[in-house]
Amino acid sequence: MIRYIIGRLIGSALVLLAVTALVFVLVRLTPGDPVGSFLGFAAFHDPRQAAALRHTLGFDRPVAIQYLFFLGRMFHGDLGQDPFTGEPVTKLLAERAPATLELAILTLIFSTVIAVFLGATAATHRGRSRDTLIRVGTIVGLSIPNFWLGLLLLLIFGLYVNGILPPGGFVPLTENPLDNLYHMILPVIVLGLPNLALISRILRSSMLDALARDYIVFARVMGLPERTVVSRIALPNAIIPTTTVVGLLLGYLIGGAVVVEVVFTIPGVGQLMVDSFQKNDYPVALGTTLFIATAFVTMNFVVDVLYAYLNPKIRDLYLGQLRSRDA
Amino acid sequence: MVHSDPARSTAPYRAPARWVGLARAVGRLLGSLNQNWLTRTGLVLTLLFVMVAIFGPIFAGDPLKLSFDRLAAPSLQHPFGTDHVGRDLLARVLAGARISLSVSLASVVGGLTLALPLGMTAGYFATTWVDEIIMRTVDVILALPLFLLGLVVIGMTGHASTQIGPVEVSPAAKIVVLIAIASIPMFTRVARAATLVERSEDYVGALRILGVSRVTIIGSEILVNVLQPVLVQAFFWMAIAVFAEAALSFLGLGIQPPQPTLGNLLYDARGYILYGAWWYSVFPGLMLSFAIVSLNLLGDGLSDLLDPQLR
Repeated sequence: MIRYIIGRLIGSALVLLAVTALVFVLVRLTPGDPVGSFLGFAAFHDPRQAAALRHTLGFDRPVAIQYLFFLGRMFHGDLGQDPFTGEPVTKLLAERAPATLELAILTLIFSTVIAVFLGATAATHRGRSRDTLIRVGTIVGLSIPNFWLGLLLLLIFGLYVNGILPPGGFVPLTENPLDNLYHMILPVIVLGLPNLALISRILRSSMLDALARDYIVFARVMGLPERTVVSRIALPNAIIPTTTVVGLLLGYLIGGAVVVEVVFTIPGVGQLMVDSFQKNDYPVALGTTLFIATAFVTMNFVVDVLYAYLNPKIRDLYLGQLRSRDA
Repeated sequence: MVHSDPARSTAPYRAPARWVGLARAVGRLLGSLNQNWLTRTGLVLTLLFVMVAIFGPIFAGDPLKLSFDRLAAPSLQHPFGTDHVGRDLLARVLAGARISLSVSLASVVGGLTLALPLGMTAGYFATTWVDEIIMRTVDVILALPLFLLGLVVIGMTGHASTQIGPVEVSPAAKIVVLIAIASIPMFTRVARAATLVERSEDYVGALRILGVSRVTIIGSEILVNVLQPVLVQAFFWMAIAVFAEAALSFLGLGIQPPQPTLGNLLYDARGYILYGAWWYSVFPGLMLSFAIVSLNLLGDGLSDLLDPQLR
C-alpha cells in the first residue's frame, strides 16, 4: 500500500511539473512579452525603461533559467505579484479560493446524494418506465451545457420570477452562512446536474452488476427484506466502482466551476483566471492555473488511494506489475 | 470477405482494397443502428442536426448583415429575433451550428488519425516495450486536466492566430488540435483493447503464415474489425467537442465575433438577459443542446448494442 501511495505521489508531482512547464512555454509563445503589457505605452516610448524592467524581472535570461527561478520561488511559496495591483498572487488566491472550494464541495455532496438515489432506483426498476425516464433524463442532463442552463436560470430568476432565488452574487460564508448557502443554490444545481447524471448512470450499471451476483440471491433466499438487500448489500458493492468516476469528475468540476463562476459572478479562482487571461496578467494566470491543477491532481491522488484502499485488487494488480517489471 | 484459397492459388495473397473493408464496417454499423429505439432516435436527431448545419446557412441569409432592428423579438421576418446590432439570430445560430459541426468532425477525425495507429500498434505488440511506451505516453495526456489545459493554452496564446515557427495557427485550428489531443487517450485505449482481441483470432495467424506483412494485417484486416467500437466512442467525442468549443467561446476564448459560434452567441447574450431579450440566449442554447443530446443518444444506444451486458 505504501509503495502504491509513493508511486502515485511521484506521478502526481510529475504531472504538476509538466503543467508548470507547459504554461511557462506557452507564455513564451505569446506574441510580445509580459513587459509590454505591464508598461503599456511606456514600453513603446522608452525602450530603455522596458529593457531595465525586463532585466529586473529576469525576462532577459534564457527560458530554462527563468523556469528554474520560478520553480525555486514557487517552493518558497512565492508566486510573484499582480503587476496591475501590486498584490502578491498568493494573497489573491487565498482570497478567492474559499468560494471555489465551497462551490466544488457543495456540488459534490449535492450530486452524489441525488445520484445514488436515482441510480439505485433505475437499477431496481430496470427496464420499466421509471428506469427509462431516469435514463433519458440523465442523457439530457449530461448534454445540456452548464453555462446555458446557468443563463436560463438567470433569465428565469432574474427577470420573470423575482425574489425567490438570487440570480448570482456571492456572500462570504463567514459573513452570513445562511445567505451564503442561499446564493449557492443555483450555481450548485447548474454545476451539479451533469455530474449527477453521470454518477447515476455509472451507479445504475454497477448496481445491476452487483444485483446479479450470487450473494444477492443468497441474501434473498435468507429472507432478508428487499430494501435491506438493495441498500445494505448491493449499494455498498456498487459504490466502489463509482468512486473512480467521482474522481474523474473532479476534473470536470473544477473546469466547470470556472464557467459557473463567470455566469453567476462568484468571486472565485475561476473568475480570477478568466480575468487574468483577458488582461494578459501572466503572474496571476500562472498562479491560478497552478492552483487549479494542484487541486485537480491532489483530488485525483486522494481518490486513487481511496480506491486502492477500498478495492485491494487494484493495488495488488499495480504491485504485481511493479514486481514483474523488476524481475 | 472473399479470400482466395491459399492452397490452390499460387498468386501471393493480396488484401482487398482498404476502402472495401472500411465501407463494409461502416455499413455494418449503420445496419445495427436500427435495433433499438435509443439509437434510432439518436440517429434521426443527429442526421437532422447535420442537415441543418450543412444546408441551414444556405437559406438563412447573411449572419453578418446589420440592421436597425436591434434586439427585436421573434417575428415572421426574424423567427429567432435579432441580436444587439440587429443581425438575424436564426442566420447566426445556423452559421454557429455549422462551425460546431466542422470543429467536432475535424477534431474527432484528427484524434482518430493519431490514436488509431497508436492504439492498434500497442494492441498488436501488447506487453512488449512498444506497447509500454505508447500507453505510458498516452497516460500522461490522460493525467492532465483537459478543460483546464484548453483554457490555459487558448487563454495564454490569445484568441488571435499564433505563429509557431513557419506555421500560422488560427484560433479555430487551435481548438480543433486541443480537442483532438484530448481525445487521444480514449481512442487509443479502445483501439488497443479491440486489437488485442483480434490479434489472437485465427485469421491473423493464417495471414502471417501466408507471409502477409504486419503492416498490411493491422492496416486492413484488423482495422476493419476495430473500427466499430472506435466509431461509437467517436460519437461521444463529437458531443464533447461541440461542448468544449462552445464553452471556450462562451468564456470569450474561442472563435471571435463577428463570426458567430453557438458559444460566443451565448457570451454576447449574457449582457442582454436583463433587458428581457430571452430569445438571444434561448435559441443558440437550444441548438447547442440539441446537437449534444442527439450525438450522446446515438453514442449511448450504439454502446448498448456492442455491450449487451449493460443493457
